[in-house]
Amino acid sequence: MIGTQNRYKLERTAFYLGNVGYNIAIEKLAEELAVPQDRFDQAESRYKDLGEFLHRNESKVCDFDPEVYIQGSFALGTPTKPASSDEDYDLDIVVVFRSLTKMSIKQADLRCLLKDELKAYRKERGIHNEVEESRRCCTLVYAEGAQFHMDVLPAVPNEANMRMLLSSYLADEALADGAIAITDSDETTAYNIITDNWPRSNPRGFASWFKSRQIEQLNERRRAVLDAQGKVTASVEDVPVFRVRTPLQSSIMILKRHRDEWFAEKDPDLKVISIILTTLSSHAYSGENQVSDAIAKILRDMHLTIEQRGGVSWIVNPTDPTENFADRWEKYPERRTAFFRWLEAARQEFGAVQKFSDSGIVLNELSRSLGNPLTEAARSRISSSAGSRAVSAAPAAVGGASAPGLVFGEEERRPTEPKGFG
Amino acid sequence: MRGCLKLGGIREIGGWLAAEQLAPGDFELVGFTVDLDVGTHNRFASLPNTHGAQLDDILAANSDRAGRMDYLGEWHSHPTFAPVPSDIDVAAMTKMVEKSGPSFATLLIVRLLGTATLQATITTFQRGLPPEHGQLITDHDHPTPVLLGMDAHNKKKEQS
Repeated sequence: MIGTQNRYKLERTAFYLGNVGYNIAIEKLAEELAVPQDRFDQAESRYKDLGEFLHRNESKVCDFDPEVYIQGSFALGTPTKPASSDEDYDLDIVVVFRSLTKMSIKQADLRCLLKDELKAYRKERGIHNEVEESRRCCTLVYAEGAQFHMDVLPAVPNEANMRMLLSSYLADEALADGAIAITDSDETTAYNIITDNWPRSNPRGFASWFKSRQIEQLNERRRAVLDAQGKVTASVEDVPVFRVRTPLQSSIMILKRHRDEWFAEKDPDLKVISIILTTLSSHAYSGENQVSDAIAKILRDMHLTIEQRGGVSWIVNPTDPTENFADRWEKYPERRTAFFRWLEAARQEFGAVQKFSDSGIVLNELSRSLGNPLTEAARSRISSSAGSRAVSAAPAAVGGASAPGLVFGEEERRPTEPKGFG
Repeated sequence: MRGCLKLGGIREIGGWLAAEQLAPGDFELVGFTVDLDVGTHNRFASLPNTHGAQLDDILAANSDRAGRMDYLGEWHSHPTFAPVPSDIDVAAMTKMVEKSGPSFATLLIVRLLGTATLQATITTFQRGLPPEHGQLITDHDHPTPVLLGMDAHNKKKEQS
């Protein structure tokens, strides 16, 4: 019974409600996986540095008006810390030569132009490793310890072609902004002649589509960044996507790590590619505000966007209706099978812990599927978060007490926002 | 508080808790604010404007405890179901301590059984941590009602 004047001893007894422990564990896992801000800054400075280099006086490509920008997970805000110090951050860069067209240069010559400049860049910046080349891009591997390699994709504009294509499919033509044509050295005929037949790519369109799938959550967090900086009149567009982390981005990061661990144990060659994971997750996401809810929704529904067309699985590129992200599943059906096995494993493993109310138990259980280093680091985050707050909340004025516990500190305690209870 | 709960009937009522810090983790409830008007049978809204003025009255009436008293948390009734935090309650408190409000706060939920028996639970929400059950200790040495929030509210009601 409560009297009229009561004392409330707020003890640290283990009593948890709902799945709050699960939510906290998931949030801390996402925090731990997130790439540190200084790495984002490094990535930004590196591609900008390359852009400036390509515009120097001695540049052989300056007249072709090269524009350098970032694509892939760094552009989407979904990169994850490498699982070990042996692995690199994979920085995907586009160099689009805006004054060139598909009919003004051969793919092979475009590739040569870029490669020569990258060689000069490597020499100028003292990068030890040679420029490497693969089917579609050139790669710069930075020094040991830098943990960065840069895949540089040469391209020419392809907006008009993409706009027509999107129009013919009654798709949003605005997604054609920034569409590019790229090189493919495996397609030897088209690679070595002047032709209009270049492979298409649309990284900026994809980034726009990805933003559109979570625009409310994204802008809410961008606004919070501006508010924290006191820039109340600035536009949310001034805050890069990678400066914030939404539930969708966090979910993708966690699922990517789960995928990495699962396929490392089963068969790395069958690993689900990130663009498939990102696309299906984005389709399945429906505005959940908590990462744990977003993961549950994504895992439940991510298979729904996989179409069957004449017996072939299709995961359509939302910014190019003719591109099937799962095209290799037809030749390698074991990849399709592996995708569904992984999805089922993820459903079971996240489903099994979502009702646990103790974040410690959640992390114990998930350590098998996400790796012990990650879950231990998340556990430390929970501990240090609690510790630092206890310290910051403890005023010296409380009778010199050194015992742990909640205290009224210097903070303004009164709520300013209405709350709804039920 | 029983008087308030009787007035509320089957509608949820609630407000803010004002407490004095006795030691770390040890608080004495000095008073509470109350809003008898906004609740329904299963919803209650805690509005800062309504409760801020009542809290000022409580602090003014306890000026001898100045510096040790402050907003402790929220309370509301569950007249028709168990006095434990609902998912909505947990979400509202978690959002407050994680985002806009104090770094910790308590949630007291009460239910009046019959005319005299009061059931209650108290839960602590702290930023970065899961909710924790708090222990409620009745101090029988101080039986005199000091419900300034309720008194202030009732005075206003009487005047109106």
